[in-house]
Amino acid sequence: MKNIITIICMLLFATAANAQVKKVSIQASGLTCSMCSRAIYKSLKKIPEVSAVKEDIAHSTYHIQFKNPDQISISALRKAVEDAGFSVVRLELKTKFDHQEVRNDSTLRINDQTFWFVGIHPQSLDGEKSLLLIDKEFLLEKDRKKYPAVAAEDKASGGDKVYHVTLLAS
Amino acid sequence: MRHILSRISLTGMLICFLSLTRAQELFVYTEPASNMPAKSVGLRASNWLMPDNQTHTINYQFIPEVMVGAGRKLMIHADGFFSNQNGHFHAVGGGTYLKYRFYSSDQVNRHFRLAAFGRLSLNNSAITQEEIDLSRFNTGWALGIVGTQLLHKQAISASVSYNRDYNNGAENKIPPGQADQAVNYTLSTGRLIFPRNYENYRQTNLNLMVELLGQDLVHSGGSYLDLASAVQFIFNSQTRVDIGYKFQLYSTMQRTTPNGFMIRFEHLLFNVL
Repeated sequence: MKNIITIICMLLFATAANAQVKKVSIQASGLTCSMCSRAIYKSLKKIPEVSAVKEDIAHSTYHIQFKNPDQISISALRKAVEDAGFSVVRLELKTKFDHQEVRNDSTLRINDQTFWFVGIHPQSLDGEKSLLLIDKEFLLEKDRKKYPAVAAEDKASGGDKVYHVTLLAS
Repeated sequence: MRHILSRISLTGMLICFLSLTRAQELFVYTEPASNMPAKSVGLRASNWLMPDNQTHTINYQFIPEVMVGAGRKLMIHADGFFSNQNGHFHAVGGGTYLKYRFYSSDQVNRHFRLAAFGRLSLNNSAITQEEIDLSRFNTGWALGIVGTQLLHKQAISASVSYNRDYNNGAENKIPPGQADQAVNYTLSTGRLIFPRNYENYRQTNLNLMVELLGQDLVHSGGSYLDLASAVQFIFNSQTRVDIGYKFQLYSTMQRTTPNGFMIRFEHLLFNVL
């Protein structure tokens, strides 16, 4: 109960950040052929907000750019990969910050979506940083285990509504 | 006993082949547990050229097929059967095939998937053999399960299915005493030969496939085991050409076309639905 109240408070007071997601990189699960890889590529390209997809076939990774970064929908990206028959195993958000203060267990509104920071120390972010999504639909279980607190929060926050992220070393 | 030993030794050979391979699961004679992409359509034309050991002619069958990715877990095929049986080329029937992927465990370089599949076929060919083949010769239905494991760049797929056949219309009945039920089982693997490194979707893929295809007739006890191998080209990550040859390893049932070639063209239309 205490968790839920904390989350509601955090959502109500989530600050609109001095930050914008510019690009997204997605790694998909074990592909075995270029036909499978191209199916994901085509599925991502079909999303109206997507302007370009650059594929890295060897690593099953797709670097995605957007027509209007304000309209990035993380759930649409995930659905595109799943419609092609695969799963997202890693999703990174290349985000541009402008002197934005962040600390552990704080939330920020970026591109009209709420992000909950995990596993970071208090700092001011400036320039382009990579955020790693650590919710269960976006990261392998073995990598998620590094962030044990997230599992309980997933349940309380209803999964997709709040995206848990951590900062990747630049 | 001899048959069991030959199955064991062939399975061993297949596993040895597996240890040399890079994963490739677009099998030619069987379907993997993975599905085609949702909202996409595949067009396939299979040409079977099999010497008929009763008529001593070449049995030619043409099977056009439309495949639809109805959802990310469900795909549906509809196919037509054409044959030159009785000396002239004509339509002999059609069928539908459904596959539902109900389990997936996906990681970066491995996945394990399970799917259930079913087939319903109508065929009015003359029944000239004991083998039950709902994809080419018989009227009936089949239900089965297929599992595909991709592990450290190796893929293996196995399936088992129950097949039930009926008379091919009023004029082509199952001969008295002949089995009308069978269990099919398959074991497949594939090897990516080219390219060594994937860089773009325009690179042509060359794959080699090896598959074991077996059938046991329920009650009568007849069985066969075939070895099928195929070369597969994939152009532009969208168009597939398979050239396969299948031959009988052993059989204790009467079959008219156990050996021969299959040439298939397939083109995938992404996101057209």
